[in-house]
Amino acid sequence: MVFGVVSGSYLIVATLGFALVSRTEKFLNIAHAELILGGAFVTYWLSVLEGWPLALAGATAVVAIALLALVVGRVVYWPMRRSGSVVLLIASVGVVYILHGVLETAVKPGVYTFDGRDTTLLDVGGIRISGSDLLIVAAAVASVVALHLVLTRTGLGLRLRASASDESLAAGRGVDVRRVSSQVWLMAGALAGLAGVLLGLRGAISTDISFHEILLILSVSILAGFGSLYGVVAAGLLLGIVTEVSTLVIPAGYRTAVAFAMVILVLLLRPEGISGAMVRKQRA
Amino acid sequence: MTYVISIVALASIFSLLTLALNLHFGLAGLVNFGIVAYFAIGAYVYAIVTQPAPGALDQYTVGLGWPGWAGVTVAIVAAVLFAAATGWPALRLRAEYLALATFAFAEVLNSLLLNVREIGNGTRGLSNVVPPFEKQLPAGDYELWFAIITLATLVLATLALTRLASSPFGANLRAIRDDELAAAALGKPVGRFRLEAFLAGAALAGLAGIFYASFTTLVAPDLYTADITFTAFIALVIGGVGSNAGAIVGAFALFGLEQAIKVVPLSEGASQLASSLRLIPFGIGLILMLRFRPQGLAGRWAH
Repeated sequence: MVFGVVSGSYLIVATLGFALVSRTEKFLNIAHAELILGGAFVTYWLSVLEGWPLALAGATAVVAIALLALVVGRVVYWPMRRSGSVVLLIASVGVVYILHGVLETAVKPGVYTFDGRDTTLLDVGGIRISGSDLLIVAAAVASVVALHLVLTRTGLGLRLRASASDESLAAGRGVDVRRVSSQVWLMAGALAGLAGVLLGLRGAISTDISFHEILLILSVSILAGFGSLYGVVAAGLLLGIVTEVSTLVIPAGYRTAVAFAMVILVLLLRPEGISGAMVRKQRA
Repeated sequence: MTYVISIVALASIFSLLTLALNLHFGLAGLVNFGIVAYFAIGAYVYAIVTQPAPGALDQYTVGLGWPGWAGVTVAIVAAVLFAAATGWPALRLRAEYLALATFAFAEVLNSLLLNVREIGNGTRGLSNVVPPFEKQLPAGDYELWFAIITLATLVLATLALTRLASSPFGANLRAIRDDELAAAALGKPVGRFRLEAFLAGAALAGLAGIFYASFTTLVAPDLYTADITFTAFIALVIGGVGSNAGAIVGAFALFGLEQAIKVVPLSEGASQLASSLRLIPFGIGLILMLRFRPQGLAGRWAH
């Protein structure tokens, strides 16, 4: 159960950035998992190989991945934003190939772990949890609260929600849509970088896990309902707990199958809602 | 020489798969992000139907040992049935939701092939797949004849698809793709047409899978991952979405480039590096084509 909450917390941070992009930029950025992995390996490089303190290395990774996401968003996606969600989805496959190629070129195949992970068990109100795991849960809570405050209490949040719901109307009312898009990429990238740090805190990392990560992120966002940032919290926790608990009954190898069977069910049980929205979008 | 022949065979097989994707995505507008599933069903069912009954070291339970032509028939029927079972519910979805549902089906199938060892030995897969016409062909020139048969199949499939695209059925599919509400308002049975296009494309993908299993003589879950789907999408976008010629040009360009890189002799470390680096130009090529030449090398943009 505690493990479930910890993996759920990681899933929430990993999915928030993805959900932010699918809500405001209106497409599924399959390359989000590569950004997460990038964050994990930048942290590894700085903390283990260069000897930086883990916190400083993690913070640098968050900034670096935020900037990387901004560049990708500006150079690749922004010029194609009128081509429609399917073309952008295919373009993000291209981004996956590029980022994964760079990552595999830079990192030798193998399994890597951060030094200085705090695995001693603490007793927090009767629950035994390791320091690293506690940090993961705390980071998830902090990200959700911070994102909530940005979206509801700042001018940026207002502009962001305005251009997400109707871009041309927002532009007509003086919102700099291009600037908002850049800020979305910075936030999504920072969240991806943070998720990468958490991924490394949770356990070993390797270059070939990005595909598995994007499968989980897609599952969480479908369960949450696309565009719903708060649904991500519930769906992340649910999936985290269900996959941890289900290994007691179903062999661990079937985890992906279980997650995706859930995805298919959700997609099929509410087709009216989804296809209705699509038709409205086509007409607009 | 045999090397060039095997590239032609492989590129032809992937051309068949890309043609199937073009029927789905280019002509009918169905974003099938799980086309590898129908490819895999064709390959696995063909292997299961034609292989001998399991030996002592095997974990699979069914091996019928039927002749090749029976294997081909059953495999294509199986691909169509699987397409009916997955397409019937999933085709109610549109655009990226359909992409996700088909993607999910393909992942579940891959997970089953990996975990249920009774189907095909799990990770190890089924080896010694016997190509359908191996015994009929002269043993010495087998590779050459395999390539010729693959190429001939590709020509036939292209002719059939070109006819289909110019038929009333093809016109209906384009109409549905471009404006579904208008087509429905004109009384077209939109759902039925979409499903029929989906089944036809799955049959072709299954056929490509049979060829692929015959080519590699091995079916294993690792050979049938989402990478196959992505490769087909890259080939189609490079060649030209909506164009049969484009699908073939794209697949041949992709495999020509990939194999050309492999020809350069490299040390083991360097070849590892090259196989990672190779991903980057594919990604860049895909993005540049989408942005600057969406109609592809050979085609006209259909969207």
